[in-house]
Amino acid sequence: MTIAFEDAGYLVEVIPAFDHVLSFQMSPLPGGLIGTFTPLHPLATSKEMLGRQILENIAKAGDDLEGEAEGDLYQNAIHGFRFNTSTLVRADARFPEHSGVKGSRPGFMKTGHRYRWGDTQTRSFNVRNEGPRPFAGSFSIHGKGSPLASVR
Amino acid sequence: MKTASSAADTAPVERLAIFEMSDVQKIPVGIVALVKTADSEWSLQCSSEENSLQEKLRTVAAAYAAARQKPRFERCYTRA
Repeated sequence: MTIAFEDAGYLVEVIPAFDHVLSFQMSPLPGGLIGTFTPLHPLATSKEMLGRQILENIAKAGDDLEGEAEGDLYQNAIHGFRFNTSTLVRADARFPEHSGVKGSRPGFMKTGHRYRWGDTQTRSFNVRNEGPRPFAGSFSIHGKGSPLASVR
Repeated sequence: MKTASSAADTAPVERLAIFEMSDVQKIPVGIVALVKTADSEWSLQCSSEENSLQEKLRTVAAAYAAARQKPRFERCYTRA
């Protein structure tokens, strides 16, 4: 595919499969959730608001799990994060101006609840855009057969 | 619910940023991602900022896709 575009006169750069890396740390201290949302390549636009919303949903997932068995907390929180992440990615594509995010600075959320983790947990995920972003328009071409062999 | 494993399954096999060169400046045209959707099925996902840029991508992507969908013996014949 690289060759096809280079032959057409374009400059081609291989970029990662994902646009951003989201990493966060949940602290057992009251209301502690700190995260970063980092673009992986120059064409991945800075999405501070998206990162903050995802982190807020992680914090909410933790809130919703209050009262559940201690041993199930971690797995359930991770499932909640996945669900909320995919939802938020789509929501952000449609409503980029969406506001209402709490936090005093990017990536920092206060939940007001005490997490009952035994230890501080650190996790990192790759986030790939599922909507029309990072660019406004998109289209797809589907086919069969091996797409990887070079064709000139 | 989307899980990490299904996200990995649909991760692009190849993902390219396409630029045009204007003097010494790189102008972004868009992103092209090749995604394997099944054993022998694939999808070229292209995105760009404007319709005109999309058409530029579509021209090359469509030709590439058409070449990929030719039966193997026909490709060999054409190359010879």
